[in-house]
Amino acid sequence: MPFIMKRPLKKFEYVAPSKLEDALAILGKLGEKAAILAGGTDLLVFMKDRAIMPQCIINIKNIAGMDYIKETEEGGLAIGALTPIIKINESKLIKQKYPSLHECTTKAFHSWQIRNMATIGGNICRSSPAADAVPPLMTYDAEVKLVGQKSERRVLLEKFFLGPNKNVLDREILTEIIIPPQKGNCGMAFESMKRVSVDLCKLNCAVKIVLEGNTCKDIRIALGAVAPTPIRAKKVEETVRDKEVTDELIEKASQKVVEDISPITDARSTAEYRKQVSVVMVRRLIKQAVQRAK
Amino acid sequence: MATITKKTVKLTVNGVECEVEVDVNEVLAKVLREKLGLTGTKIGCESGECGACTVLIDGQPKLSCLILAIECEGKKILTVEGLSDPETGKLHPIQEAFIENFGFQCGFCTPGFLMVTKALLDKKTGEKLTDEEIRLAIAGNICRCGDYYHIIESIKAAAEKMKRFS
Ligand SMILES: Cc1cc2nc3c(=O)[nH]c(=O)nc-3n(C[C@H](O)[C@H](O)[C@H](O)COP(=O)(O)OP(=O)(O)OC[C@H]3O[C@@H](n4cnc5c(N)ncnc54)[C@H](O)[C@@H]3O)c2cc1C
Ligand code: FES
Ligand code: FES
Repeated sequence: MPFIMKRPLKKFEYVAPSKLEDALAILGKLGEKAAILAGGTDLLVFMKDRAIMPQCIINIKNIAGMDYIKETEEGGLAIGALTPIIKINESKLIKQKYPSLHECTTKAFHSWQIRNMATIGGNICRSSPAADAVPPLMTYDAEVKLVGQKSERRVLLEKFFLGPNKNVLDREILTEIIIPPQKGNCGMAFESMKRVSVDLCKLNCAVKIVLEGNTCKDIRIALGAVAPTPIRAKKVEETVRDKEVTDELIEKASQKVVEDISPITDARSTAEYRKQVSVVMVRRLIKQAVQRAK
Repeated sequence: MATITKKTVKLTVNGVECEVEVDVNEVLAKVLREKLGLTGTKIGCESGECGACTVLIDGQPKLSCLILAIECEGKKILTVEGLSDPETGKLHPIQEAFIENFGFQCGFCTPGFLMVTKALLDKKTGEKLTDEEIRLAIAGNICRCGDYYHIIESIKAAAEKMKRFS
């Protein structure tokens, strides 16, 4: 008896251009009917589930020069969209200067095979509210470069997401993630809560704090899986910014996170649980970030 | 640029160059099993979560259920069949270690664990292999029989046999 795949992929057409312009020309022509294939760890699962049924797959992995991690002239960082998670994990530069981004590759993406296959651009473009690479990047005020057939724009990552699985991409390819220089005495931390190691998170959070002595000069807090898109916890940030950082202040500020988030109940957690845990997570991560800045 | 629905791709599978005609919607696992007769690679969840379909592509462990065969054009693929000596059929030290240390029960997950172990030990030279490293390496592989203790013991024994310190 022949072996029967439980979930064969529906028929589609395929193209694997080696030039970005060629990929964009096809994407420009086909629009919604085409899907970009990077690591495939989200796309092929969606296609097997029939959640999406593209007429054409545009594999962009043959396009050279989209897999890199390099410091920019201004002293920030540029990451190519096709950089696999494993490279981010192994980068000494990222471990040293952007520890929360490094942590997202150790506290999430546990599967070695997935780390080898999944790309950072794919994690962003999939636009899951639970994407683990997004909160750290949001705390760095990262931007993404989106290239279309006749256009090129830079969008603040925070403004990229429109809803679950929805983003601002309009027949465009995300080519690069740009992190501006992180000024001052920074402390960073990230955590992702999962039921089992290969699950999507119930909740994730990244914090970046800039300290001058004991005063918070600036702070960014980003959370995932607690709203339709990854979000900033601006109420918490306001409470801490320009203040002397004490345990009492951190306690008071972390309570405010419930005003920033709008979690839902789903298979992974209840809304009430997510609210309670967000408070704890924000409190712990602010403390950890403060400690690391000192 | 023209789109395609079929192509004859060149792959090097277990050291042997081959040409195989694939439909673009066929995943590598299916082509290995059905077109190349290499049924050692197992298909469990078909969605990236169990690791049973793990093969090494250019030396890196990847999931053959989430890679299109056509994406593998020109690549070197190693499956569980490629572990033993092609001349004598003698098992690879990793396979021997799994047999000697009861590293499986039903065996369905075993090809995936063997391939991850191969990649781990290939990468590792000299320094001591820690339990933590082993656990991290196999985090993407599920054993439904729950034989993790023996799997970890087998991996340590394999490291020992291959003179990768454990
Ligand atoms: C077993 C398993 C474990 C996982 N664990 C985690 C985890 O711990 N944390 C986590 O966050 N995610 C996890 N994921 C989800 C997934 O691996 C990541 O989101 C991954 O980063 C997606 O990248 P990719 O390159 O595989 O994307 P693909 O699947 O290739 O693409 C994803 C989407 O983005 C689009 N796209 C990709 N690249 C571009 C681009 N450059 N420009 C425009 N559009 C693009 C595609 O069209 C598609 O819609 C897991 C998935 C599996 C199967
Ligand atoms: S069958 Fe590929 S990971 Fe389960
Ligand atoms: S031995 Fe049965 S699944 Fe692992």
